[in-house]
Amino acid sequence: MSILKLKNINKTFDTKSEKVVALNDISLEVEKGDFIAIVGTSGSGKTTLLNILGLLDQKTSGDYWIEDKKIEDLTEKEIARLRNENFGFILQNYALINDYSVYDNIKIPLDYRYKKFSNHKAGRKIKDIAKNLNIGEKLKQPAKNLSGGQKQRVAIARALINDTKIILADEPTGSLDKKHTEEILEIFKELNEMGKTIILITHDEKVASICKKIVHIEDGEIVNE
Amino acid sequence: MKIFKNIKKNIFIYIFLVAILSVVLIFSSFMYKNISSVNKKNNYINSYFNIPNIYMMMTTYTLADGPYVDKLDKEYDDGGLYTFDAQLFNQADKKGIKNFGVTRQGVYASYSIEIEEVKCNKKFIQTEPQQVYQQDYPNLGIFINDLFGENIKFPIERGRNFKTKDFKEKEYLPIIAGCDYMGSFKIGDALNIKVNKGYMETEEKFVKGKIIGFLEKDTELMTYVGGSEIINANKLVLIGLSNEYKYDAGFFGVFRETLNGVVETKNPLEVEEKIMELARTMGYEGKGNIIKLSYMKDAFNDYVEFNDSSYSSYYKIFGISLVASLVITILSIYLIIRKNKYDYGVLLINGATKNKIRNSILLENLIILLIADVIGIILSLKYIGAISPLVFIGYNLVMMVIVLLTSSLILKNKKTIEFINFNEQNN
Ligand SMILES: Nc1ncnc2c1ncn2[C@@H]1O[C@H](COP(=O)(O)OP(=O)(O)O)[C@@H](O)[C@H]1O
Ligand SMILES: [Mg+2]
Repeated sequence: MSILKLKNINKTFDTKSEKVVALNDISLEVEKGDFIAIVGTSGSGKTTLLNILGLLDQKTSGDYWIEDKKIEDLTEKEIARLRNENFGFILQNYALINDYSVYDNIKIPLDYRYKKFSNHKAGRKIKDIAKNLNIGEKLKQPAKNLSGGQKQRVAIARALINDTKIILADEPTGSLDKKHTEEILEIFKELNEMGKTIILITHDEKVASICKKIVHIEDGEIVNE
Repeated sequence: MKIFKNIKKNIFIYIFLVAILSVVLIFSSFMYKNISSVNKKNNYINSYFNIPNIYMMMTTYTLADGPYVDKLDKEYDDGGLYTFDAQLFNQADKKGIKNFGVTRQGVYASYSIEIEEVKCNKKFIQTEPQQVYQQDYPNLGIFINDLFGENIKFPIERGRNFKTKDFKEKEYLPIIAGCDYMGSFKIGDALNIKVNKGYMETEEKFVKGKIIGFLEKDTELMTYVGGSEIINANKLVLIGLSNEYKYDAGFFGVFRETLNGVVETKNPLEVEEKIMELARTMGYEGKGNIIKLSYMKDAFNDYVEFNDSSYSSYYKIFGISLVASLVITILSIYLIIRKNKYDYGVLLINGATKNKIRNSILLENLIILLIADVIGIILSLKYIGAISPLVFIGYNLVMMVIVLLTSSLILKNKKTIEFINFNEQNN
């Protein structure tokens, strides 16, 4: 059974001047353990697709299942819980709260968990993950003091903290130099080997090449698989 | 959300908010204090004067009586002198104006009376004398003349107020006693009153009085010999004077504060003009001062009117600051949500709901409100000496509702996608 399934998904944005078709009849199945790259030029609809997968935006039409749960008519609270329990997000600009410490940033998904962890358990988990990602020394520092590579590691730590099965990454190396890009991609590979399902969005064929599967998207349509 | 981190992040907006909220609260205390004292009927006399800066703005010249003015006593009168009262007019001795009124001031400032004998066989016990006018003269009684007695309705616990006919009665002077005497006297009791005129005259006088009523407990009266004083009338007796004692009634002089204004003219028709002219040369016109000439019988209404209009300007300022605080609160919530958009987006992608974010905004503002409350209460107590718990609670509730509505509305109208449009924000 696929872990995520999209069927005939359409997404249009109604702007004041025009109707933008961002996704056109997208069907996609993601299996457990997949490492998929979604590749396309700027404006091709990659982010829109990721937003719909991650329940950050709503499709205009079509069907979407997470495991065997059909995503339809959910309250904001149910959506937030599904998002919290299923997805870790890693974004191009890191999406960290600058004034929070690294520790507090990593902890955010735990703050919104349905079943709360004790502070002690959360602390141990955060320290373990941070240590594995080489940011164990930085936990007390405010996020804004970190370098780009370190910030993305914090974002990765945060995506892992809640033990979600799926990681959604939107241009995770887009703001990094070559050396850090390689480091981060190495981490992605390891995570996938450990069993995480990863969907990685990029416009960079080189980055995509490390993935097991590549999906090309053009003008909101999947062109080959 | 880390509430305090967030408050720190938006510290300038919040400091501004605390400032305006506490100003409104302090203002509310000020309004409460003054309005409640206006409304409390026991205080109505003092209410004319309890906002000094307003009082200072008006110079009222009151003519004592009749179509024009009271003539001075015969002994001083050279046939062309007219006296008048001026609330701010204390500088008659300058500009070469003859200063006849001073003797009267002296007289009424130094009255003391004792009640010598009580008919009906009840002994009158003089307790601690009120020493509010002048340290050296214990005062138990206040003389009230007919004009005053008719114009003012004192708050009466038992019996009745003064009536015109009381002042015509030769045999017994009408007396309204403070409530402390209710145990010792009853209405109709006759008193023998010894009058000491300690300052200018040495002769002792005896007058007879009859109790017609008792004042309500804690009635407060205003006197202003040696500065305005509010006195508690529980231990006082108010004695209505017949015409022959008329000038002695100045003690409790709402209208007869100073008798030192004198103009000289042979033509009574010119008196008003002369007084206004004098006032102008004294420099009382302009600079926000209003000069007004009115007859004594109207002066009372003039004050009420003037103070009412002053209050209405306070209401206006208070209303404006209230509305301003609402607008600023709404604006600051809008600004804070805008400023925190990115952070809220981060929380949303990690499982927060907009409701949770709204709650944290609510909590932040609750803390701000509490800080403003504490500042408001401390400063109100220190500088105003009164707070209105009801107004405080009401204002807090209104502000919480405003915060709730504003934050709900702003968040509701923003889609999740708008918060997490990180690229737009960064580019
Ligand atoms: N909120 C929006 N409102 C209107 N148009 C949008 C919105 N978001 C994206 N689009 C449009 O949808 C298309 C796909 O955008 P996006 O998914 O961000 O592309 P990509 O991530 O591949 O660069 C673009 O044409 C973009 O202008
Ligand atoms: Mg994109």
